[in-house]
Amino acid sequence: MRQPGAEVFDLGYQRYTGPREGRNRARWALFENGVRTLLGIGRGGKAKILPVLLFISAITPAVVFVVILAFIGDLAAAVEEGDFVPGPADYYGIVAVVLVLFGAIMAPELLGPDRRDNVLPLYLVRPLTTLDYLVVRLLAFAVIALALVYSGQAVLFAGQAFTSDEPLQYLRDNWADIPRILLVGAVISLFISVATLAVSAYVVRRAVAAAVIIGAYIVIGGVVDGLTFAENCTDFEADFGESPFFEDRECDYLIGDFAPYLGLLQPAGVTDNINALVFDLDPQSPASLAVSELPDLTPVAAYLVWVIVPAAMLWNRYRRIRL
Amino acid sequence: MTTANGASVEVQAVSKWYGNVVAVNDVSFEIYPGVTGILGPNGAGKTTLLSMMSGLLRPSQGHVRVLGEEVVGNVGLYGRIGIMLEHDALYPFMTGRSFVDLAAKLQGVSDPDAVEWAIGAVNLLDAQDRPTGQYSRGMRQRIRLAATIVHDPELLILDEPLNGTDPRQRVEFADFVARMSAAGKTVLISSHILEEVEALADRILLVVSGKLAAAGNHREIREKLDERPFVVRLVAEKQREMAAALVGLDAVESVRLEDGAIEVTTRNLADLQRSAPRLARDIGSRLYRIEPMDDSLESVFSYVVQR
Repeated sequence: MRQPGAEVFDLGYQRYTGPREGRNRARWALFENGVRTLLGIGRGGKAKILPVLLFISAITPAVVFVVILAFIGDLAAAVEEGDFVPGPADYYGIVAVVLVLFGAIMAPELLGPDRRDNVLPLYLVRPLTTLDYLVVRLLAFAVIALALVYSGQAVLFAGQAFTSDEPLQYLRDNWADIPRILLVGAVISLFISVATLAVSAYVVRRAVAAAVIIGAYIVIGGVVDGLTFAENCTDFEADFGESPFFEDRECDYLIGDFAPYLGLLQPAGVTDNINALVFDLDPQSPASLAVSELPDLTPVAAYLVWVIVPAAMLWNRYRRIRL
Repeated sequence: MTTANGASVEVQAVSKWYGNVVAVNDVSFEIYPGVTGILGPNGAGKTTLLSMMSGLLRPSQGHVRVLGEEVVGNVGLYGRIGIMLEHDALYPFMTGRSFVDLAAKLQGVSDPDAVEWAIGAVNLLDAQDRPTGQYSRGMRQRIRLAATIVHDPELLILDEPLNGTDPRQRVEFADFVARMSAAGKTVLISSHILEEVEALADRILLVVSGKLAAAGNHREIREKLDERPFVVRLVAEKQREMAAALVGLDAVESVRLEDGAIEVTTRNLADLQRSAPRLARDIGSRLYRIEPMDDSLESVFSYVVQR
């Protein structure tokens, strides 16, 4: 048998000669890490409890709505008679609160440890800019938020279709709701993602950040609702029908004509107003009712301000961070 | 790629100030392939310099070029550099392997073999599947090092890499750095463990009060410290006669007998090293040993800092 020739094995530095992907690979890795962090993937069971509970909370209203629909029977007749028939807009009204809770709990979890435990350099000494970091973290958060709201809407839509007498006819009649559902879901998710991440950028401790977010939501919402409460309203639209010549509704407010503008400051109203606008429904809260007196574009402009200002705050916070 | 003169890092007239506080003051130097140590007392400006070389801080004045390119805002350059900062940390819930894998992907390297190699290079393959929260401080340092080298960088910037490591790990680290250096990499190490830097670095940069106080091989720096005579210890058979003979040399400033040896101070070490054996022969004594006492990096460091 022929002896093998002498061999010298290189025990020294091994040069990596494999492929090197670009910055998008780095962004994708950061996105993946964000999603895993939010869902508790790769961590112990405790880390998964909150995301699972929040998903259950987001789906539950949809399931309850489907159960109600199942008992109603003839949907068309119920609508005709003015009975409560839960729809996608009602679901968004409820799930927005769940999403605020999700943001209050999970946004500090996404940003806080990177700063508190000094993990930020891990990203910033790699091919990622501060802007990449923020945009990708925001996207990871928004994608989970979207998954939350869309999963509930999917359950509700499917439930509505299957509980109606003619599911196919239901789909034909209500297909126009799909783009509305997608639009409002994206609007709610983006607002809550940006706003809660902005708070988390300034408040490092998770419990404090969660308290600030929930507190601001409740306190500001309550104060604005109180100040915009109207005692006497004349509903012209109800009395005389829609008219381009006069307001639909006129009310006496505690704080006078400024009330509709103050209503724009209510955090819950930011998405409620858009929800009402897109689904062409009457808003529910006093603040949103006051805002409905303003031109239709005003809530849209207010929404943009509510998204742009926290985004600018977020950028400002990270732009100043020194490693 | 390096600069035209072969330097991997070029720091040109760099200053950095925060309001009225000057952290780095008009510093210029170059770093070449091989191992360079950066030393200085706390608050001397080492970390500020490292941050500027890492592109994390923009100099208030001057330029920093790394691998031939301006480093500030040059995100693409990070694919060629490995940076391990002193205070950066790990996700405690992540396993060592996941952490290095994340670092690899952030550098555009998806090859699991590269991750395997990097973890192997720091001898942590056995512990790679444990959460880093369960690691000792030394293990955390090593897994961070693995994450820093996983993409095979041309330049390594390591701020206090030996913190928390035990003696065996330091030996392994020295071996690893020597291999990197032999492979033509540039390694810049900041450390307060002077003996380690002395053993590792071909060249040192001494930073004091935001200024570059000295640069080069520490023995060469020692020779240039004219105001500090060398202290040399001689061990000879006939100590008193040898001491008397040494006093007659022009190069010798003082002679002292201590602990069975002769302690000589001189400003001309080379002359003393040439003359001492001749003197011993002339007086018929054996000369067992001549050893400089204060050309260690520690002595050089303390002399430069005290200047």
